[in-house]
Amino acid sequence: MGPADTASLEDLLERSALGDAGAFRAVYERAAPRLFAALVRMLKRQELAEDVLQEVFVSVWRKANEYRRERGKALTWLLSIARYRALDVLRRTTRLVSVDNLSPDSMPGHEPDPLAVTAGDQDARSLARCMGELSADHQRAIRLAYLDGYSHTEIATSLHTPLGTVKSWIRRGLRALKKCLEG
Amino acid sequence: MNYDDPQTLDLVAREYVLGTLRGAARRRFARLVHTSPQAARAVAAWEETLAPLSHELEARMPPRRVWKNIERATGLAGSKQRLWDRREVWQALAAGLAVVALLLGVRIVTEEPRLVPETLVAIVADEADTPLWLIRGDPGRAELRINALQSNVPPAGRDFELWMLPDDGTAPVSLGLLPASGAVTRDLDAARLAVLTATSTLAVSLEPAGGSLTGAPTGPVLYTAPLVRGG
Repeated sequence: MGPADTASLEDLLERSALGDAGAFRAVYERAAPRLFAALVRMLKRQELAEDVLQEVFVSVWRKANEYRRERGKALTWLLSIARYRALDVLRRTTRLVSVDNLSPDSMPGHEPDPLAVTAGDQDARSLARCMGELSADHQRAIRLAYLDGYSHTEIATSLHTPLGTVKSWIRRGLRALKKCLEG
Repeated sequence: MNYDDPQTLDLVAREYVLGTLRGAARRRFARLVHTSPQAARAVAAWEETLAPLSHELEARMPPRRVWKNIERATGLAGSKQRLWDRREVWQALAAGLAVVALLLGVRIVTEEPRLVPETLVAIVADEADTPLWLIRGDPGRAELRINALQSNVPPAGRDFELWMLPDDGTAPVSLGLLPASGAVTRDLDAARLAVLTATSTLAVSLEPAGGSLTGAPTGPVLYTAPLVRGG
């Protein structure tokens, strides 16, 4: 295989911006499984997640030159494009939110295994540690928003909790998270 | 909202990245991110903070068809076959086919001298000029033959549908679904035959699986192709 194996995702994305089709393919091979996991979780339908993933990478090919290394990691940039697109799609489709269609790891008593996360990089370990310091309610509300793409109202409905309480959990949870990560 | 206040900006950026900022407020802020470096920085900081949350999800390999569709939509599909990348190659191919069609026409003339046969040829190509389908209409035999020139798999739950766009500007008329691979031959009824002889442009639209239910294109028109008289 070529130099794509050792190049960073940032390098590959910058080469894609110059029209390097091989680099673009390598970006897809490395990042698509992460983006696809995020999309399936948010959209709950594999078929829809495939459509959005396709759309995201077609737009990445066209606007890879908008990526700025100094602004952040390439994977974060790609993930954000995918998440925001999924949020647009969710906005147009009404969802029935009930405890039944919550994914297993956002259910009470099913917190993710911290060991599974330690396989990630340093940032992932720090975040996992700081998430672990939050109360179970705060963690659950943050995950439902970030991973499942739920609105404040949807989170309130699914957790049978008043809207004001949910907003305050998220606000306080994220403040504590940021403080812990900076500390 | 006053976005000049760094604390307000940080708060809105946080809700934007988390996804809880919705509706008009979300769209407004998305525009601001494009024009304000401060807003872009606030968003990037929260994106970087929260992105590791997605590491909790197990990476999941998408099906192969997703990459195939991306390759086709970006025009990268032919990058392995350099030959197809070159406009002159498929133009030459089209010209060659026209000659074949002409010869075919001549042969039919000798067989059935009373007919004035006319074979119609179209090549549907993508934006990168990669030929996707070869379409041949044979009014003499009342047949339409379609060859997929590469694997053209539609997105899940969709089909590619072929249409005639009549020269007189009347509504498009369906010629049925396009095959993802291989070749198909289908009979043309009298009504379609009549339209075909007065059509210079074909179009391909993306439709629900099984084709448009309304009799008119409902999905996006992906490609159009000139229909050339070959004989």
